[in-house]
Amino acid sequence: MTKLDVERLTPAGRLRRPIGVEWLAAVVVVLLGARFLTGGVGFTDAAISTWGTLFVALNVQALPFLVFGVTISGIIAAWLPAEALARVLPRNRAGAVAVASGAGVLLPGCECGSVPISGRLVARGVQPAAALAFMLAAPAINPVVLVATWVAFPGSPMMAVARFVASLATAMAVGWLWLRRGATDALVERARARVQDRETPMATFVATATHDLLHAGGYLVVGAAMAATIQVAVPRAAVDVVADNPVLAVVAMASLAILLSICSEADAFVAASLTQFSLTSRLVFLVVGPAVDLKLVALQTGFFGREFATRFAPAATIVAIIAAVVTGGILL
Amino acid sequence: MTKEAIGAALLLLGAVVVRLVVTGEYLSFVKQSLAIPLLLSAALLLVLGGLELRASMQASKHDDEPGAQDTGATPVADAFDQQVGDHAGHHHVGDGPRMGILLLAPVGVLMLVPAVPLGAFAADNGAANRVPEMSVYEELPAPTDGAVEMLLPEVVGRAVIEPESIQDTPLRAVGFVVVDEDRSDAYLLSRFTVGCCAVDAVPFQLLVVTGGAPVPEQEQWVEAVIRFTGEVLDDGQEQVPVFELVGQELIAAPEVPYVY
Repeated sequence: MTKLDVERLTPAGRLRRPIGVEWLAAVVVVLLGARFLTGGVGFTDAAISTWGTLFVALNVQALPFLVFGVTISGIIAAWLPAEALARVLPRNRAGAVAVASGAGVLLPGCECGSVPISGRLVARGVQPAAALAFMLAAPAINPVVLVATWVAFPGSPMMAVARFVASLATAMAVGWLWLRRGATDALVERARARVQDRETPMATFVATATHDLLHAGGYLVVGAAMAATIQVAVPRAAVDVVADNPVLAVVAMASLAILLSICSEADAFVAASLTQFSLTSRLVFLVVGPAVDLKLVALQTGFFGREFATRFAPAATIVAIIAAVVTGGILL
Repeated sequence: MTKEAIGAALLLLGAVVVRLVVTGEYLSFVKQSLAIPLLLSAALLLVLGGLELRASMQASKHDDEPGAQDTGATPVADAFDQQVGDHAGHHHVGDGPRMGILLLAPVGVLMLVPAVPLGAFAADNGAANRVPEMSVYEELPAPTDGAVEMLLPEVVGRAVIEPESIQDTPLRAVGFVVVDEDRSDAYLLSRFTVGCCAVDAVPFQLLVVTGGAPVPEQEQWVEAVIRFTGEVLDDGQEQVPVFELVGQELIAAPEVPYVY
């Protein structure tokens, strides 16, 4: 079976030094030292301690969903060939977009994982618009993400339904848009060049799962720090000004989703923490995030080229915001 | 990150999660229902960490062979790190993304800041007493030891929405003390409700007029018997019902600090 891979050399062709155990040990020693110097009681200042509780809570709450998510995406990357999806897609191009969007339900994947998978689909001859629809749908509407959303909003069970509807609509709409207007030749060539053969399924599983975990986990930690800071450090009145204005709230939530780049398994918990914002504006956060954010744009630039990314990101953002606002207006 | 570093980090993370659950400290952060998922994910972390360490040992054996170049599998999404890294001068060519080191930040925070539930600071900071407008309350249960047991958020909700249902009835509620800086004869008895976890906690508070009894220390947990005065303070943003104190007992923090 073939595996997708990317070049790991820098342009200069030289290997740079990665972070090693010695750095890890240094971090632990410094932390233990700090703990010792502060008398073992830790920082008890009320604001810092509250920030710590919120920060750790968000990470702990999201961790199981993150771990299950990367485990499943590792299994899919290792044992389920992309060709299987290519085979079930109908010949009709518009139909292929719809089926590929729906396939996102069955093939959960971290969003960073779904970019290479769709790159592989394109390289295997799948209609690019269908592959893009799959790339948008897979991280947004898979069961792990929907369960996480349901857990994050126990008081608003319709949130998970609204997320499913709006994200599926976004994936199909962007796919169909691409059928009509997207230039795809350069995209196909680039995707082909990226695909390489790799080793055993077990090695692929471990490599994919740990990579996705570290990558998505890193962004989760940044997002959790941001969410805790908004609650502890930003004055409530300032947040209220933004949250109480429907247009500002939607713009703020979409921007936050793009900047924070939190993976779809964990973003519902960040949305849950933004309690001053309306459910519809938080739905915008949940629908835009898995479709467009800084890390996805960087990843898409890598796989499909800069020209593609500069066209795709704004289109997907606008479609996602419209889909979320309309769905939120009807369901929430 | 190298494979050794990744393996060590995942083992550490898994161990910390197990410790959180076993000691019960996780209840300061998330609901009880997350215990099993947390243990399962900790087990997966430990297995993944072990596999990474094993792979690194095998890779170092291969490295000794002539002609060996690749130290093992390369994760698929490194394209991101390459793209960003190449432009930002922040090169990454290890076996895992550098972002991963951040996963140790929560572990570090847990080492430096005590794992305590949200307290007075968060209660003052959040918008208190957001009683769901649709709340429907049942008949009061029979009193035990002269007072009706009730969770604090329900006490606040009844006082705001159905004041007549608790008029003249002594109620027993558990909460922690938030000192009211303007008054020495009263304190705010407080408790959080959480939806998913501590991040969406909503404080519920009622003012207890002590009538001569001492005001306990900030964040001291109290089991108080209180009676509704019929008065609700309203500053345009928050409604805080006022209760008179019948009796109070200082207690240890409950195992589950939040109301779900």
